[in-house]
Amino acid sequence: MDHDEPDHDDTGVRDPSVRNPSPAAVPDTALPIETMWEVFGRRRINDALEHVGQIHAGDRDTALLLARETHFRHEEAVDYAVVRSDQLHRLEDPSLLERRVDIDYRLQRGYSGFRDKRARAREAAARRGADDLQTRPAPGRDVASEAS
Amino acid sequence: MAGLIPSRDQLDARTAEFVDHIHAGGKVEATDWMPETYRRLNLKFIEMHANSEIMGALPEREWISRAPSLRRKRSLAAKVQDEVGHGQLIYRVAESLGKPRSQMYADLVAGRGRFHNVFHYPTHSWGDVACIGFLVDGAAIVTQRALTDTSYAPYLRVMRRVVAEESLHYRHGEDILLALASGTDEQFAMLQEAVNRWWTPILHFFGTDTAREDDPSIFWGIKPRTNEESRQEWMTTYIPKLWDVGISLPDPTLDWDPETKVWNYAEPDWQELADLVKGDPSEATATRLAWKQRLARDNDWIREVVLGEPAPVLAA
Repeated sequence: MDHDEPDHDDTGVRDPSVRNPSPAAVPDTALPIETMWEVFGRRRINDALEHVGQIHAGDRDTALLLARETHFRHEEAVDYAVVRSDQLHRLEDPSLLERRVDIDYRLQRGYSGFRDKRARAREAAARRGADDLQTRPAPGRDVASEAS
Repeated sequence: MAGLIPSRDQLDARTAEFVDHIHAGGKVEATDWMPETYRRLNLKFIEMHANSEIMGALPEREWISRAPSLRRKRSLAAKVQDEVGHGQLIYRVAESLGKPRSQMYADLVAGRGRFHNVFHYPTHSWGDVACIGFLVDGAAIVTQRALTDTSYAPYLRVMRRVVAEESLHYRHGEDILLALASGTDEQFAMLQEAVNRWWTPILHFFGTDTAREDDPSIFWGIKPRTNEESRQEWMTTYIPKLWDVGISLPDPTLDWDPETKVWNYAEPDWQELADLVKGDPSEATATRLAWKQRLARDNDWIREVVLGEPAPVLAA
């Protein structure tokens, strides 16, 4: 930790009065407020930094890690940040969002060639003598394009 | 259920104004005032959704080690991570309605949490993975896409994220299904058997045919469409894709009526659904819950590290 952690003493143990704030300060339904972080993401470089959700974490580094694993696994952002209470912590190492290995299996473009794959499955069906099934009436609908 | 749909003259002025607001397409933020029935129904619905994401990851997780290639293994592991991630996002929304996350998780692990019927079944073969990825996820896409217009704004925002990822899962599932459909006779038979197994659970998934005016979830603006509308949309989207590659469905009466534009199908046994979700846990669920209990114990230290505080007690 290279920044002040006012809620922790030298041993890393929190001041109990902070961990268990008075009921008036925190709704009794939530985890302790000091473990709550707001997560912000910027989709493209010209976009505004947008709030995408919240996470719970005990410290800044874990909050940044959990924010990445929870919200930004699929190239949803070029930059992100978390803020605890009135603090705002920005990502210090943008390379964390860079691709270090092939992750096509996490991306739409990793799944392609469906026209050919479907044609092969149709041919296989014809070989099995399933032609009668193909003639049954059904409403047409291009789902693949809707899903993308 | 009638008590959950109040008549107009039963409502106080504030509640009547709230109902008018959501019926006009208005949204509700976590910090807005809301009637207790709205809060309670939304919490029940969203908690069940979050539970389903977690329990839904388990049947597929069982196949990561048995996936037929490295590419399928990575693809499936990534999808399982996505589903668990959806659970985390949705628990966060449920938490905003007043139930602590630790309590929801404790309830789920102890077997008290409810989740969707399709995740109570065992998986027998790689054909089941194709069915879960393409047909079950397809059913989830249909219902979740409808939820991108739900009245509770925090849920709506999360569902937009989730639906974007589900379209990737759709392709993952279709890829597996088409590979089996164009494979050997044995591979095709494996797929056909699995489709036969999943047909009734998927019809059950959408729920009974409840009229719009009798469905509290519709009255309170949680979901915009009836169970039958969602089931019909799923049929329109997916049945032609199965027939197209020679897969048959185990219902000889199944037919599309071009006049009325509805699918006719044999009514599934609804008692089977009631027994499954309300009775003793199925064998598959008991096994998976035992795993969850063991993982909850073994992984307490991770929770401690992440939250920087003692882990919640998971009382049975």
